[in-house]
Amino acid sequence: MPEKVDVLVVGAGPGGSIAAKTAAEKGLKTIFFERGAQPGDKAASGCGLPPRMWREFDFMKDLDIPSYKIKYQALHLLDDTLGERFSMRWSPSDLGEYPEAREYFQVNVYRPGFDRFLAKLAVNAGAELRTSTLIENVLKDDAGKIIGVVTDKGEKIEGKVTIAADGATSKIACQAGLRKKWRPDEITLVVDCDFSAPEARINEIIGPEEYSNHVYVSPLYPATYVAMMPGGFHVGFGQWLDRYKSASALSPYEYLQNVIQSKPLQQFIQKLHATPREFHAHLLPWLSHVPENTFGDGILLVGDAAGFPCPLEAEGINYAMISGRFAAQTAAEAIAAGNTSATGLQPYEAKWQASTIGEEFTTPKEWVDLWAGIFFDPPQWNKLTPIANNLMFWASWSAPHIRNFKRELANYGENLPFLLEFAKTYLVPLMKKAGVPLGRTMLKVAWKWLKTKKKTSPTGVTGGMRK
Amino acid sequence: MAIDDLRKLVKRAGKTGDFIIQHVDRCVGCGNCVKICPVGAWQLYQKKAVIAKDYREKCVECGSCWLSCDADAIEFRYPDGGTGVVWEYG
Repeated sequence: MPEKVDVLVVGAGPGGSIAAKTAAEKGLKTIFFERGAQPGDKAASGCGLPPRMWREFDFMKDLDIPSYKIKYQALHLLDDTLGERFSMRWSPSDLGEYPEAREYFQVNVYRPGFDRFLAKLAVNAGAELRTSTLIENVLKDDAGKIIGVVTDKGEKIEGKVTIAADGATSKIACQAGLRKKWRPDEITLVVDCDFSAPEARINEIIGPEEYSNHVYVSPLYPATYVAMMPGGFHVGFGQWLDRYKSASALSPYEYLQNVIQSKPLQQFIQKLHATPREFHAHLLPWLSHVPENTFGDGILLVGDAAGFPCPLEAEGINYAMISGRFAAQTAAEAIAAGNTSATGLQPYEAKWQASTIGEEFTTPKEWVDLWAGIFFDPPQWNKLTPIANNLMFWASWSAPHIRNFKRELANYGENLPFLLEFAKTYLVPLMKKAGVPLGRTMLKVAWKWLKTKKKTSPTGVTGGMRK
Repeated sequence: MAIDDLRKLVKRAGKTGDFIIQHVDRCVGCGNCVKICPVGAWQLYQKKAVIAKDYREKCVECGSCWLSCDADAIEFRYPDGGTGVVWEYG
């Protein structure tokens, strides 16, 4: 007789552990499986935890692993010699909805510690963790309903509900028939290198008030991040698989070479006395459509397995955890009602659609087009980097300033068709879909300004003008 | 950094059986997997993609070859539980 439990969770990443924790807390007999010898062993993607996770999940206050609070973000524009031509740096905005949002961007942590922290919460709640166990397939009844899993040792384990939290590739989703493997335009390959740097050096050169995340763009690789981590940093980039395939694109390895050879990165490495420590590559779903088929007969998909990384930046951890909680709640309700078929598990979809996940997916195509068309389209930077670089030309001492100013304006005039086309292609569709009443709002503001125009403006911008 | 140096930056545990299976008859020799594999484990040989004999010492288990293959000539599972890459700084 096969072993029988209430809930089976495939994967002990953030989504799986929260699903297992929530299910166990609801009194359900729960097993969660991890193919690594311990949770976190297979996690390739270091993570930035957003401040809203501390509001969403009460247990986050107990997180006690090494972490860096990121207080600055920076964007660096490079040209085709891989030299930096323009950069900007910013701190959290006053527009943040709550105090922590105005204090920091993210808390950067290494995944092994974080994944083990979450898995331990699930174990403490009563879920059973089985490590070194690859789930090879799903078990189906005669009607095709998922009734359990098969391990790589051939063991069959039955569960009333199976929650697939097996990450980006999700073999379980495919085996359950919920979808085929991702299309190459639905998934990115992220290549990442971890560097170690002496903490003393990091704090001497940078320091906790200046911990930062950087984005480097250039004509020679897709947008590349440098994320500072405790005692090191991650350098990496992603690109959709279909774009790697195009003839003009380089291979991931060639892009990585360009990234590492770039001048600002070399400076960063030398400044921090950093050395390469670990190489990673992993897939990351990045959908330009709302995720479909996230539930079926006896099965629910969470996190990357469902395609939940956000369409703008493919932020996935928070959404994996939120969906893991919804999945376990739905499973508990379905088990209590005695219906774990698709009709019993359907409320899962309404739950995530009504949450921040659904909100993220109100403009999926527009976000992806924007990102793919700008940051993941290296040749754009042959044009965009010089345009940005010219921004301060009026202040140059190369000629009388007024002559430089006129030259700069003339240059922007020449580039205007390109810039307008750019805005029309990538920004206008987003604003339209998001319901930003662009034309009307601007007219209203302009009308108000015309009506209240006085010698000195209410904002005092003319306060310093000479008579 | 040479590709061999990158490979040295990956720790591995235990011994696994095969986890990538090729259907050579279906391969159309498009070279997608060769270009995309981040550790260079695939090569074109006589117009067919061929995976390195020692791919288990090279592969980082990303699954890109499986997903980039339009001809469905590559099957990918994962290494046996408890084996394969171990990332300490993911």
